[in-house]
Amino acid sequence: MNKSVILLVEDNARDEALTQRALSKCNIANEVIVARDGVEALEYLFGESPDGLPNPLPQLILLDLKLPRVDGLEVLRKVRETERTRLLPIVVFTSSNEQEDIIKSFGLGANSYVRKPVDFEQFVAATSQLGMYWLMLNEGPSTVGESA
Amino acid sequence: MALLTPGLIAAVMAASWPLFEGNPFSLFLIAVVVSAWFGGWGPGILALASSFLITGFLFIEPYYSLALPDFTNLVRMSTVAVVGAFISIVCELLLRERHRAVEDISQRESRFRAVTESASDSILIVDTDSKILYANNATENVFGYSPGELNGQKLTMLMPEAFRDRHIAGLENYERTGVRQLNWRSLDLPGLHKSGRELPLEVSFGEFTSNGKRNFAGIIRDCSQRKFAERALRESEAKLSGIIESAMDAVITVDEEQAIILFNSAAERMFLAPREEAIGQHIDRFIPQRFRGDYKGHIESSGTTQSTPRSRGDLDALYGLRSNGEEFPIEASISQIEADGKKIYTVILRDVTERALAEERNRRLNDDLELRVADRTAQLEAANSELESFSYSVSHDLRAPLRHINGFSQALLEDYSDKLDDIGKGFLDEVRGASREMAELIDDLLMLARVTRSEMDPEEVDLSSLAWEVIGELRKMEPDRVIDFEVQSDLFAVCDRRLARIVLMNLIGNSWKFTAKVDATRIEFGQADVRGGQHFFVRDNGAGFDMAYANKLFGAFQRLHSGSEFEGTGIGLATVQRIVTRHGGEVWAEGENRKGAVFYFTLMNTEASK
Repeated sequence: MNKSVILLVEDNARDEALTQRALSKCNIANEVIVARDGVEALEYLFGESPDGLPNPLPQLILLDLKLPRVDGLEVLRKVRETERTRLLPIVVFTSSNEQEDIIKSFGLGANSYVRKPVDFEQFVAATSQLGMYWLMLNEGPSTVGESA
Repeated sequence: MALLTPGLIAAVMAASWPLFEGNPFSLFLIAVVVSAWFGGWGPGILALASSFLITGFLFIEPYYSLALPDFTNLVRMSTVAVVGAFISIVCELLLRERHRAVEDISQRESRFRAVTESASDSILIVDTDSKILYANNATENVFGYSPGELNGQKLTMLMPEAFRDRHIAGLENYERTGVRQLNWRSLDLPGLHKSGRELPLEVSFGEFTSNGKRNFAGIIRDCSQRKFAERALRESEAKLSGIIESAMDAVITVDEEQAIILFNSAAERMFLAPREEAIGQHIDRFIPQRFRGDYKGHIESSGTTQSTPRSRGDLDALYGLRSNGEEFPIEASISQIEADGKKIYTVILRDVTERALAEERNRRLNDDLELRVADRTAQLEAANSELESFSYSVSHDLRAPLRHINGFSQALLEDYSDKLDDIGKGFLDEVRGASREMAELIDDLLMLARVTRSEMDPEEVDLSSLAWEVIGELRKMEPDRVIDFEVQSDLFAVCDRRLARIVLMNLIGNSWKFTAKVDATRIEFGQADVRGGQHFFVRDNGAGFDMAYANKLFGAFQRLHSGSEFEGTGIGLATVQRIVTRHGGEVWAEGENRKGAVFYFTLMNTEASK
């Protein structure tokens, strides 16, 4: 599981930097693959690596909702609709706590919904708990990860 | 008599015998005549026979014997016998004739009585001086006078004062010239009842001559009843025609051939045709060509399907035709009556042009209104969705930069702390504090917007339990505060639970906040009867406020305390007021500087504690 990756779907570079910083601050050393919008996220999940093999599936997807081109909810739908990816743990990690967003996210099969705190200390705490839980504590189905 | 008269004659002859010696029989003819005149033929012959016996016995020789007389006397006797018999027969015939005449008269008399006395009309006979010669019994019924009271009186006593002279003059004139001034056959004249009341009379009279004198016979009928009935009929007709004429609806009556027999004023106005022109016309004249068949069918079906003499069938979607060729929508009902075996149809028509126009106008207005409502709704929806996307965007995009400011300030503090002195670090702390505050402000604003937008789901809510929940949450945030809470139990209200929770969170939260600097903090939630009704209240013994600024309490961003004194965004009470208003309730506050505050509020249905 050491090689397992985190897919961070985040269009904002500052948020990306802060998230990376938070992850490293709480000693999560997994490779973080960043997709800057929904299209990039889907390309990574359903595309191939340069060596012709499918990209390794992430152990956790941190998904922002407001994204250019294809938004987070659409990514969520596609992932859940596709047999290969439908069981991937997805945490919606976003700015808002609009009731509507929360309901839609869970409706489409999000595993968790976490609002990014403004205060950075709280932000780090939240990130740490997420990593701790989803990367270490949580047991996914054995098929999760590389099927090959 | 037949025996007595010959006896008398004999006595007369005996007394004056020498006169009659020559012809003793002839004198007895007198006896025969007298007897036959009064008794007819029987007594005549008897008188004759007894005369012969008396004569033979007394006056013919031999006297005092009934021996046959001599020839001369026998001839005389025979002659007298023939003459006597003839006289007797003649007298008999005369007598019979007389009897028959008497009988005839009495028969006529009784017929006359029978007629006059059984008549219900008064019958009067007067002479040329207007003296009443006869009055029948019915006269009493008419005039009130008995026949006995009238006989011999003047006819004028049965006339009203004003007519008496005219009557006398008329009668005199007739006497003189033979010109009748009145129609004798039938005459409407007023009479005068014994009681002094005037009577409407119908009089006919004739004249006849009796004993060479002219008499007049009058038959007089009291027509009070008839007049009364006529008047009632006229009144009822007047009333009916008044009704028909003043009707707003056209009333047209047609006969079996559908020719118009009644056409009221409203019909004149409606069809622009004068009555004189309409009467007698076929009803079709006032119906547009294409409807004539339908209309005829309607009338006929109303004629054939009626089981009751009157019933109505509504005609819909009909049109009338004015005489200027204009068609107009009408509403009609037909009723049928039968008079003298003939059917008469009455059609009541209403010009519904105005109504149709009004309906059309109404419909247009409604359409217009619906369009406008739809338009407004669309605008409102647009505004709402705009607000929705606005707050969505605020929720997402406004917080991100704050997070970045906060995050990078923190990074600066962590990674470059050696390059910053304490003042620099202090500045960064301020930056972070400011970003936190603004994030709070945004959250509160979003809540205010949501409170207005969200759907309400009213139910009965246990506010007492809800208050304890809120208190529990506040305690978790600041476990060190020691506060004496008092919550009245079993307070219920019909409201939206989520919104009620926000109200309590804000009010109790406020009390929590503004009692921070008080030693023995006390916060109450309960219900009290104030301003004429049950109100919930949240009371504390905290900082309170100056009542002079009470009106500013509930405005968004309005704060009565400085941020350095008490934290806050100034949106909490605005949110409370919005929620209370949405529930149809009210909220106000009472307070005093440094002596605490009370917030009163109501929700939908406040129930007294059970």
